[in-house]
Amino acid sequence: MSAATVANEQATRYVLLLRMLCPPRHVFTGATGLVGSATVLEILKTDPDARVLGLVRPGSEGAQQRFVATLERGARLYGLGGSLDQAIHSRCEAVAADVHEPRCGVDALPPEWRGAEMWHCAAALQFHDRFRAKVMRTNVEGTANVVGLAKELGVGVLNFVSTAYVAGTRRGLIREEPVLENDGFSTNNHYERSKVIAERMVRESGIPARILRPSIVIGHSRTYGTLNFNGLYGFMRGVWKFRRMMARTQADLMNTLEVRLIADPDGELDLIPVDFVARDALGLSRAGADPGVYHLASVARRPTQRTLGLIFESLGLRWPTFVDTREELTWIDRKLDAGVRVYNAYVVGAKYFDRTETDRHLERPAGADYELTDEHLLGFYQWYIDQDLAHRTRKVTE
Amino acid sequence: MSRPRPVFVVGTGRCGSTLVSTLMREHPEVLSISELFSFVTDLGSLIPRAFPAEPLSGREFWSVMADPSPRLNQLLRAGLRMGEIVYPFGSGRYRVDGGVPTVSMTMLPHIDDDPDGLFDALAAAMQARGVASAAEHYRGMFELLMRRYDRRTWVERSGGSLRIIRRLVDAFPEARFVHLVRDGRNTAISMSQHVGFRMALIGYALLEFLGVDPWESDDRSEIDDLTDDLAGLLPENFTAEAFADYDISPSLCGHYWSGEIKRGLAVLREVPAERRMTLRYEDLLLRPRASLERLGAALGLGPVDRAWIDKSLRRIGRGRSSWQALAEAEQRELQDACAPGFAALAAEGIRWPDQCGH
Repeated sequence: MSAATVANEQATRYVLLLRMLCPPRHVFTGATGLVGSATVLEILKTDPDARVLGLVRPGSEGAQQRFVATLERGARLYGLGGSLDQAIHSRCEAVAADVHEPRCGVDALPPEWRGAEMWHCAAALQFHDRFRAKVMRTNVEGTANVVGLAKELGVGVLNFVSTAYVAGTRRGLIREEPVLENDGFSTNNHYERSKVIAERMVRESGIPARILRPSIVIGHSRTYGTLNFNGLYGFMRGVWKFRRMMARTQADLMNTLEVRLIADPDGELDLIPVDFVARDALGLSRAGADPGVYHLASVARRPTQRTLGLIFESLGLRWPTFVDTREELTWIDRKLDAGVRVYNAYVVGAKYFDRTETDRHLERPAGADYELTDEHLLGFYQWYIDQDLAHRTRKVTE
Repeated sequence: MSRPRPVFVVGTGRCGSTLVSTLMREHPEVLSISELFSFVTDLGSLIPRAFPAEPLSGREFWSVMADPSPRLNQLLRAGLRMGEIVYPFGSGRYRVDGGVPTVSMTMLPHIDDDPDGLFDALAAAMQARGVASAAEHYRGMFELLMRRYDRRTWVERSGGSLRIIRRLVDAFPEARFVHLVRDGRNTAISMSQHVGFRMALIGYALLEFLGVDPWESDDRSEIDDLTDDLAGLLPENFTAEAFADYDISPSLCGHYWSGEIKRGLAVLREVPAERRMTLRYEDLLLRPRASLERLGAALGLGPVDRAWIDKSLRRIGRGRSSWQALAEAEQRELQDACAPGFAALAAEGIRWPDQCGH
């Protein structure tokens, strides 16, 4: 055995010992949400030493139970079965917390969590105007509280999950750079606005921070499973509820009626499966990517017209006609529009999210060979219909 | 002499049927029941409650009749009173903020000037009944009233009763049916402005977007899906202003009208031809004597009462709502919405001028 080999083996043993004594530690907010839980599972799956602390709202079950149950459910939804159960129980712990409180309502964390890597994934995704104050409180004040806690913990790095749609009304190529708040563009809704403000707070916090901007996050690339139903699923649900409301007016009306929808007919929807978000986010972490902005997007771009057309078809509706302005809508179209208008940012104003910075740090982007075919798309839709909408149907049949 | 068959006057609502109840009230041999089924179903939202599949006791049945209907009382508390509600709030025992029994809203004051007294008498009699089907309880209640007021038959008329036509035909297979129809375009305009119809349509929207009936359930887990205007109409947020601001177009009501006409005709065709007739509201206004002759004959009471016709003629006025006053685009939407209903009626030989011209 050469001296170099011996030295290498010793170095490896030293690293293993160090990891055992001082394992990688990750502190999460939003660990029971879609992106947060998927990232935790990815950590557990790919790093046998890593420890995870979830700052979790206790709800009625208690923080630990809620955290564990969510992760176990997520693992099963993402095709991992019970393979991570032991890791979930032995390497994940939860502390009751609330981002609305100073220091997230956490009194003191054990010293071993000092210097951990922090992931701020918690967010409110309520788009209607009446939730403006609540969303601002969670996404802006909440981020301020997380930043305060991060400083106290002396975290090594803060990964802040934002959204690619902080781009607001900008069109064309959107670069991985801070959003300027006075460059003449605006946001489409208070959610986007809250994320713009939160990004600035994180940037100006003095903490080394990666701002991660996913596009429209959908279920798992292989199983289609998802833990919650925002974004594309919210749009689907809005269309589905509209259809049912109209059926109460006239049972077979929506079988024949063709509605109009405001959207760019030549645009593309930027979808990204949740497992790709988690893998790329963790890839950036493992690569020690510099503080900065990273687009977790442009993995599965699909023509808007076809993507929405297939949604309508999956829900038993005719494909909509795309129009540019509200003036072209009939009353029925306007009612549909009112239900799904909050998703306009996705379908109006074609955007292309540059991911040069993200890809520069990744050995291989998670979605490198992925193609979101019609078959896959219909698989995602049908999964959602079977797992959620069908149950809602039973709830309101009478 | 065989007993005359009971009669249901059915329609989409806003088709002139309230006038028919008024005319029936004038008939010396008819017990006119007004708005029973539209109100015990709380504007068509609690249909299974009004027609339970299982037999029920007299006490349970009376609870269906008397418990305040949530939607109707919500409207009253907000100061939104339908013209059909004729309870004497000044002199009667019930107050708006305390909840008004469903049958006291219209049915009882339509029959008697002392609706509270009638309520008490009916409550005692109905609650003493044993277990029976809902239809038997309804029959029992109507017969009790016929005896009390010395009438030979009963005529029930509720706005929008085509919504429950299947239930009526199944529960009362012996009945005659008068189908009152009105130009869908004017009907739709009237619906879009009518407190009860607006509330019913708002109720459907809330039910679907919230996933539960908000007047029956506290579950608000799907509240994020409600648009802001609908959220303002939840029972806990409800205001007259939010109600007035909620946009309901004539074209939506036109679609509703078409749906109800199609559904209604499909069921009414099952009723033997000699026990159903269709009456156009416009004919009642333009050719009242001939229409009253037809209506009187449909009651199956023998020769039509001349005095009743003369008295009724004085009650018949002019119709309102004119769809031609709408903007051109709205007219077009409304025409399109009503087209399926017009087509279904045309198949029965019933037409209006310009019904397809646009």
